[in-house]
Amino acid sequence: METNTLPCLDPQAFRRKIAGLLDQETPLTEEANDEMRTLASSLVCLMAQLFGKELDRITLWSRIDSALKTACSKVRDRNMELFVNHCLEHVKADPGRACLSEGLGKLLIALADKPAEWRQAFTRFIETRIYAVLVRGKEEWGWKKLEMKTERGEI
Amino acid sequence: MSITNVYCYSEALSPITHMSRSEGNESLIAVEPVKTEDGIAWVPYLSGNALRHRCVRMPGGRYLVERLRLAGKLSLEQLNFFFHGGNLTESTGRENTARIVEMYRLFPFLRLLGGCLPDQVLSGSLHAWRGTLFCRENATVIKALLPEEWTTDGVRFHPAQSFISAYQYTRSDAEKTTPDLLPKGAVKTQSNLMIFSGQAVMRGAAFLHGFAVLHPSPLELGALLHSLLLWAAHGTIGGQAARGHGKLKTYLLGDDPARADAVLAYLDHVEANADQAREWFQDTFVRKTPKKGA
Repeated sequence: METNTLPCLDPQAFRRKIAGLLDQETPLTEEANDEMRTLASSLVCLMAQLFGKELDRITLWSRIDSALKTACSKVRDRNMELFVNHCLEHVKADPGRACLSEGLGKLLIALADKPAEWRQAFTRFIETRIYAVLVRGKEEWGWKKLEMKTERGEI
Repeated sequence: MSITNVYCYSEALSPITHMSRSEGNESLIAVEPVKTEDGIAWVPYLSGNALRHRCVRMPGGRYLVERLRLAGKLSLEQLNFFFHGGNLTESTGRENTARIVEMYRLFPFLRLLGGCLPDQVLSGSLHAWRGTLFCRENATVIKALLPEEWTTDGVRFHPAQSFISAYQYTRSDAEKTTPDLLPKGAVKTQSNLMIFSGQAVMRGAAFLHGFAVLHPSPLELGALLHSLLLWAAHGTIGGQAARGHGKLKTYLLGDDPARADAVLAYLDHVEANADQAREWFQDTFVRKTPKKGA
């Protein structure tokens, strides 16, 4: 042992230490949480819509679940384009269909506008509420299918 | 009454898994209710019992056993006294003041911690505090625990939840990893891979903890500080140390040159009294021979 006691902190050094534990970010509002809920559902709905044809459709929801978890694990730098990209790659979305997706364009614009702390909170939101996100996304996908069938004149 | 407080700031260098219980194959960390402005919140903590044992009794006890060359010579009863506080094992307790005085003189470390001799309970002078997580929910508690000049006024910590992480490990199966070592023709069984997971307080989180020593002598203070130093060098807190969890980097709040002197005085005291201490220890635990006809 080099010294006879533990290292010491004076009040200034202590303040510097706890500075690393402080929350400098503005708390998120209820509206911000609602928006995250909506955008997370949209993302799930888009993955269902763009789900790769080479994948077994029976695995749709477990694949979307793992897409979200993988993207949350891989993207820690608040980069939302990368996050969406990981999700779509995981479900083997066809680039051609993705380019034509109006919803995807809207989602990317909506995510790009958000401040850094919101974007970080968004991945945390998905990571900690994965089942709720999937259920709401599935519901939105149900409505989307209905809308698409109506547009095609099937209903 | 004179009380010396030793304040510790410990930051997590690895995940801290001070568990409370298991649910299925998942370990849950110990949390306690804290009253906040927004209601009751459940916040991770380190128990005073764990801190006392891991940071003081275990490293300090081991040091004494090695220094007094008692390793391999102690009974289970004696080891329990050193490392776990001991038990009253004799039917009649007694108050042997001379023995207490002698023990306190020879063992500042045991005066600090107290314990149970076979026929006598001895009080200690050390109060261990709980480890309080630096988080938003504990802001009021932290302010109250710290001395005035160590203010945390105007700061806004992250909420406790943001310091909680998760881990998952897999225990493999020898049938997969070392099939060549199995007897030829061994019956194949179902895969036995075990997944175990749990919660942890993440790296970088910090705890405030400490010790109050009641009317201490420099030797007791030295025993405490020396034990803390040994623990900081090699010790951990909580579980999963086998997998790298539980390492804290600990700082003392405030600089007091008397601390280093107290540690040196304690080490000198142990050396100077080693023979007497050994004798006292062996004499005290001599098993009484039952009376004839008893």
